[in-house]
Amino acid sequence: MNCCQARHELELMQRENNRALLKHLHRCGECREYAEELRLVNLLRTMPAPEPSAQFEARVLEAALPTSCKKSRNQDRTRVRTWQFATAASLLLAVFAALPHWQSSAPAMDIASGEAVAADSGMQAPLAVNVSVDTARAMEGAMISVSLPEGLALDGYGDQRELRWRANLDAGANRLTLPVRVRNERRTEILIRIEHQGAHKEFYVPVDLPSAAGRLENRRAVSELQAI
Amino acid sequence: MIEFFRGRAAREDRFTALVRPHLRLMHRMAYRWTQDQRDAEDLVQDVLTHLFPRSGELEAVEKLGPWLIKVLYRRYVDLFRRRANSPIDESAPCISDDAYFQEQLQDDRNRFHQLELQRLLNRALMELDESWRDVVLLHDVEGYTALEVAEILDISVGTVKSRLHRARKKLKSVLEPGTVKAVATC
Repeated sequence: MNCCQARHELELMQRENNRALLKHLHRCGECREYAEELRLVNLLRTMPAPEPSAQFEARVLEAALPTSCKKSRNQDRTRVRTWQFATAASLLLAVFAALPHWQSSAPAMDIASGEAVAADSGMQAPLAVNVSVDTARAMEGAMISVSLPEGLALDGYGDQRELRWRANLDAGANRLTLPVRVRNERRTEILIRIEHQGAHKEFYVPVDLPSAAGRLENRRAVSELQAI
Repeated sequence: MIEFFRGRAAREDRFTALVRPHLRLMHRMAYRWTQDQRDAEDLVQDVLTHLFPRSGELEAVEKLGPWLIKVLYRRYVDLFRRRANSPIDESAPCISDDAYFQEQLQDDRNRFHQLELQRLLNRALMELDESWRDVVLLHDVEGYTALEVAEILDISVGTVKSRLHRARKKLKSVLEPGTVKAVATC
């Protein structure tokens, strides 16, 4: 048996090597070396490792998602969906902003018509105020602050008029939906502030309220962009 | 109450679809390095947390598996190895997870000899120079090509081969006759 045949035999990994191979290995140092290396690599290649604990994949994926995302997923999803489909009116306001150099342009404004939902507890049904924020680049961990005037409340937040949370903004359009409950019927504005890495931007979102009869006033509203 | 940025759900789903097929491999590799199951899970979770904002970058990666292992390796070095090497932090250096092999040996008497050899090899691996160990773990244990190992560790293919050669030479001594018996009696 030559070295080539011997190595071929070794690679077949037969449990009981034949006599010719053993005889060859006895006299050939290089093939003995090769056999040892093969054995080593085989042991390393089959080195066991523990399986991850139960639900590992779901757990690490869940933990990897940003807090705002998890919150919306775990707690608010059902409510938000219900709310989205049952809104009295939808106001879509496009606000163009870019940090740290803010740019503004005439915001596109579209008032979609919708059906008013019966009021509960003496208040009107929540109004879906959708704000689209355009950013030139992604902003990780941006701080969003919402300040409501006296006549408005956020559904589910009682009388709390100041809310702050962190969210990652994608480059391009990002959409914020606020479920607003109306306490009086004056035309009013919501202040939204976005902070990121020392820069900040504030803008007012005008809210045109539905009439007392639940009709929507299809009026055009004008948004104001205020660089501070 | 507030749904912020509905597009995120799609982004989240894309991220999950991209990384999920590689999570077990990442865990296994993290375990090989840390020799601790809990640390391995923490390391994978940490890497994913840092990767989520870079979802767009992930989509552009051609071979995501080795790329993720490269990110995992760098994070491991940052979080574990540098800390262990710090003169301030007296954390114990990486030691082989003998407990795991002990469990396996109890469960699997038929493969006793092989498992015992592997336990010895694992111990020997942890005593190797870190740079040699990394190459063996990736190439011989996990089966990456020399080119992929070079890419993951940011070294040349030549360096991979020379480290592999030296490491194997050292590891072979573990398999010499008599070694197992001597350790088994301890």
